[in-house]
Amino acid sequence: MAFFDQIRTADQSSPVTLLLNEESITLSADQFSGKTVSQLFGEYGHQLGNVTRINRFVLNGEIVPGTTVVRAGETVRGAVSSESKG
Amino acid sequence: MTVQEVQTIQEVEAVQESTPVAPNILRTRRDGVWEVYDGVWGSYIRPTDDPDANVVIDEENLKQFDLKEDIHRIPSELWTKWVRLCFHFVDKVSSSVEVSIRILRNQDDPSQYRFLVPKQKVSGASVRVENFDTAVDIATGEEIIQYPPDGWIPVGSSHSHNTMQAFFSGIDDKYELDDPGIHLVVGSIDVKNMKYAIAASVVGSRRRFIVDFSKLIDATPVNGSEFHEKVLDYVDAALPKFIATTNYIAPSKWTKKVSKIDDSLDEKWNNPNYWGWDEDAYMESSSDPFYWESDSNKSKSNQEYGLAVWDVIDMASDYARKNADDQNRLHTLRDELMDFINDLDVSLSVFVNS
Repeated sequence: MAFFDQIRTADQSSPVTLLLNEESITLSADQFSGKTVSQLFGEYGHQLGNVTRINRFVLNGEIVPGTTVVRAGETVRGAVSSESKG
Repeated sequence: MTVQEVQTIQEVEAVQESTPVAPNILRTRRDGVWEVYDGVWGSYIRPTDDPDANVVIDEENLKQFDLKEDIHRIPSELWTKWVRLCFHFVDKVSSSVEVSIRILRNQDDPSQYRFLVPKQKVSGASVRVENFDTAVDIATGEEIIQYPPDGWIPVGSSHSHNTMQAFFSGIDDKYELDDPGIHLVVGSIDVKNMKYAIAASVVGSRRRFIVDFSKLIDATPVNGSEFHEKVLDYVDAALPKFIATTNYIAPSKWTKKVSKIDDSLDEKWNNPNYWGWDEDAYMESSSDPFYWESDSNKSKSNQEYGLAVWDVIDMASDYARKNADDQNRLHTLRDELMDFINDLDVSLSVFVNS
């Protein structure tokens, strides 16, 4: 089927993990390929929490800017930076 | 069946196995299930039901939560420091205020907890934190300039409701539902009887699950467990300064009546028999919960600062909440606010026209 041939198959190898606090989601290679930390949290982080309040990214234990490109098998942690209580 | 016939069948099967067949159902990781639809005018893909679906999820299912039994509880000594801080901002300030902490766990040892007090502005009904990067450890007084500190994972928060009930407000939901982990409210603080209430929850997938606090916290009071004094530098309880006009009430302080500090309370702090928790709200029913006080000199610990918009909103909300059962007061508040808004409209229209 012609148009099916144009649909990419899901790549399950070497996923990337996004974390907010201790909650996580896993992204397949076809989802994270070539994207930055900010882009990934922007696209997929909403499943964890409010990405607009995340201002700190930790990649493999080190704080990194949001422009860092994520590679296969890496784990990126985001942290919210502000709050209000009532 | 002859040997030759068997070989023929096997050859046919082998050919079939090696021929790729385009699936009619397309399953994506996060974008749902699609089908290749053979329409009247042509074929295209469209969302569809999963023919292999095996469950139905309803609203009740989404409310269910199964708390793990092997959770490392917040240790009593650390929790006591936090409770003492909550009591401090009811007992030792001229008007009860809220206060908030961030809860973190050690990355390698999740049994190790840490409470950080971020630099915050507090009022009787709210806490505002601009940035967690300026914070102090409630136990050691270590000042944090980068959040989260290396090796520690944020896992939630706790804040006090001072003498108000322990519950999760709308503003709590707004911020906590996007912050997965544990969120705890300390409320109904009764300084005289050394009691308080805890509301405990776990937040995940933007939903809050109410849980038994004792599963998350060892709330046993610990004698001598005090918060580090440096913490007080991080909590700004300064009251807003109102600008007096002749058109509406212009107090310098809107505060809660507090009884004279009882010196004997210090002994009670150190007596675990006076500690406890109570799910019922404690309120002095015979007293007027709020009053306007015009003499700012009576304030001991607070400084005046410029009025922010959220100060106005917070105080109005606080007043409404405290007087939820008093229709007359609520109507008066509404009328005053409406008058204020009308006056503001007039002022703005002049400003815009000019």
